[in-house]
Amino acid sequence: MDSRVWPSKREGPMSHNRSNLPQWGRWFLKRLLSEEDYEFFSGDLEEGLHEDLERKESLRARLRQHIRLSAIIIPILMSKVRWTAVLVANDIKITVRNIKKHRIFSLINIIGLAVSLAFFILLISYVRDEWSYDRFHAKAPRIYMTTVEMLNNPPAAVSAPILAKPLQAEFPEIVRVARYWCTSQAVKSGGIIQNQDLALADPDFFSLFDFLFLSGRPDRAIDAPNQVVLTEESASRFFGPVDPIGKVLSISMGNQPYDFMVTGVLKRIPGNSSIQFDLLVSFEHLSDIFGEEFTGGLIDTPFFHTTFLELHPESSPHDLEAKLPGFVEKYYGENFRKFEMDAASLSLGLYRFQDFHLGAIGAASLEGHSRPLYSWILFGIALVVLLLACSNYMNLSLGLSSLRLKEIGARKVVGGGKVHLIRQFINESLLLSFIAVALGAVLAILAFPRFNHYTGKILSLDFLLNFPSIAMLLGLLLLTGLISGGYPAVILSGLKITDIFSGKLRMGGKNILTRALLIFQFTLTIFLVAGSLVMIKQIDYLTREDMGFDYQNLVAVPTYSFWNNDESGDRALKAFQRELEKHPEISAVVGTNGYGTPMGYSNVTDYEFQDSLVTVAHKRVDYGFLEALKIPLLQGRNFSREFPSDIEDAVIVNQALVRRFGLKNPVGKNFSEFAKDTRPAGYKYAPTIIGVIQDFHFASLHQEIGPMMLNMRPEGPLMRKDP
Amino acid sequence: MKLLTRHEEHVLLTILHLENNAYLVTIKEYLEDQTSKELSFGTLYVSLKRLSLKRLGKMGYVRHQVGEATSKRGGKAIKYYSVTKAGVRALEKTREVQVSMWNGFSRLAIKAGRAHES
Repeated sequence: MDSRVWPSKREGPMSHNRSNLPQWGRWFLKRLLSEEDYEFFSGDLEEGLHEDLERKESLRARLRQHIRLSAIIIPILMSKVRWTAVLVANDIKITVRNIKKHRIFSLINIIGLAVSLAFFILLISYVRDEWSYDRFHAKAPRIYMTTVEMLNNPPAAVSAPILAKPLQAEFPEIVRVARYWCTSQAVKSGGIIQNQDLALADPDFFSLFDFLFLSGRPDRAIDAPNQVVLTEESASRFFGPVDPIGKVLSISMGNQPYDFMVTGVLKRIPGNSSIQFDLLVSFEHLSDIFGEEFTGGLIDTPFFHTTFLELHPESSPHDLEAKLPGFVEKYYGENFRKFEMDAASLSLGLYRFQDFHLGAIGAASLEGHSRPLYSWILFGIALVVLLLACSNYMNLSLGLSSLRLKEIGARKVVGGGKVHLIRQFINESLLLSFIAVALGAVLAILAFPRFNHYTGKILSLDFLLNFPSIAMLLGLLLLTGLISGGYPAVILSGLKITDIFSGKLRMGGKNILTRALLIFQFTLTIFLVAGSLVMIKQIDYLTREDMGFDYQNLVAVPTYSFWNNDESGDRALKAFQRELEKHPEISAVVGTNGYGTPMGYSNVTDYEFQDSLVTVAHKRVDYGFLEALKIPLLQGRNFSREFPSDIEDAVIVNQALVRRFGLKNPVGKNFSEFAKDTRPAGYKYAPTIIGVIQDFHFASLHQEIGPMMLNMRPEGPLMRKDP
Repeated sequence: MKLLTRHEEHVLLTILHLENNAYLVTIKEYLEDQTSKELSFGTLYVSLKRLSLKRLGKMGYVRHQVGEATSKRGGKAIKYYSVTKAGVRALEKTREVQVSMWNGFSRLAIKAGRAHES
């Protein structure tokens, strides 16, 4: 006899015999039967199956034991399932009856919940997109961009083409480097000529980033000159449904057409990529576009493209950053001294690429970024709207359930337990929220094209179909159902039958929770309404604020390379102007060079003024620019063909510039009289002011209008070296 | 009153026959003897459970009392079943219906047999 002490006295000395019942059988029975019934029933089994349950050696005998046990358990299981199904079916029946009985209530509830859910799904899809930018590359956490900070300019993720090779040679922690630049160039194939976003990149670009190739080989696509990679869209734009591999198209570079052979087609670049282009060629073609090789140092080479680097997984970007000043001195110290500048005035840095979209750093070749605050605000609004719908649902349910007091009373009289009543209420609200979630998803899908149009994003609802999202939706459903059905359920099921039928009971109104919910709802609603009013005012400001120029009936035609930096471009523009001016509907055609928008500036210069640096924006304009845009000239004169020197030396400045430099009689003053150009010798620019115009917005409305000069001097995206 | 099913009828009658010794194991053995058909403990358990259910405030057809634990049963207590008044009434009612349904069976069977032969 076993002499061990058994934990429970009830089980007695023979308890060890019960191990004869297979483990799984006990497991099932314990779950199917109440504790008491399990005791009796397992006892009956021990006795009745006495012989059957003895340990059998042969596999067949053991198998027979299991089959016999299943034959015992299955009927119990089936009866359980059957009666549960009957109960649930009854609950659903009652729910459907209730929905039908209180049509308006149910409609308000379901639609309210569905609309806010649709809203929630849309906002979340937006926020999710914002937060997912550039993270689809497997190496994303290790990809950095070099940044540069010079004088008082904010740091920017731009780089000089000469930097890549020395960086890779100097630092073993840099696994690979790829330079990337995106510009706009005319592309011709057959009869189609279009300006396209042309990207130039080093061959390692495709091992750094995960852009999917539909055809072609990533490692061979741009390893030689005159090869071009298209995207799905640009391929169909130029070649239709035909396979473009091996086909030839011509790209204008520095106003010369060059033939390129298509070596690869990329799958559509995702909307949440900061890198967007139509065509991609080798970075070696940079010299074709600029007409020169960049061979100088950091001072006489322009910073304009982006340099991406992949950092070794074990090395820290901060350590590398700390070594960069030494690197600059080692490789470019000579160059700085040549231009009488201090190497410390320029500092290189690193910026993680995946942080770019929600960061604050600029990069000319990449898509613009967003403020992270906006995403958080939208996320907050999405949650608030959902909470509102839930609390609204709870209030309506509580209010309605007072109409159902008699039903609850009747259920209690015939023996409906508290648990069953709670289950009934929760099942009802789960069913309602299920309908609402389904309707909400349908609404979101229907509203999606408009939403995409409105946000200017290419969002996709595909993410709704993956497991985490479905889990989230189901979780949302359960949460809404449980929260909104749970409270009324607990309150109502706890009422006394006598109270219910005495008719003295009053639901709602006096209830603390009802009041709290109402206050909560009103607070949130006021908050939302106030928020919308502020937004309306903002939009109003954006649309009504006087820009300082007349943009009615104004059409901007981007001509890119033509006007940028050489005379042949200017000649092409002149021809275009002459053609357009033949049309009587067109009152004026003027050219300008603007970064970002046509009314933006084309370049900036820092001037030293009273121990501080003043950044002055340049904008290259044409004769007749002021008249065409109706910008008032306050003092002096406009550019005129009668003064040929206007092209090189004359500028018209804005009021902000006059104020900033404290000029008493600005007209006729030369810049050298009041400010010192900080640029190196040979690049300095000291024009004479011939007129003053009223300020106009040339940058974002978020910014105050800064000092600006209009000139006529050809000046590309880069600083021009004086002859 | 709802009529008993054949199975319920058999279970109730078995409990009556077994008098003070009606519990799951004996009921099963008796039923298997009488019908010479194998019966699962699970099925029997479910029927007994349903027969002991109270319906709308009325008594169930069977009730039970707890007996001694024995070593034969792995130290578990025993649950003896007995038929209630309601159970007896249900059996009587079922029997009445059966008697009236079976009334004149031999005569009718002979008649049907003859009709078949000719």
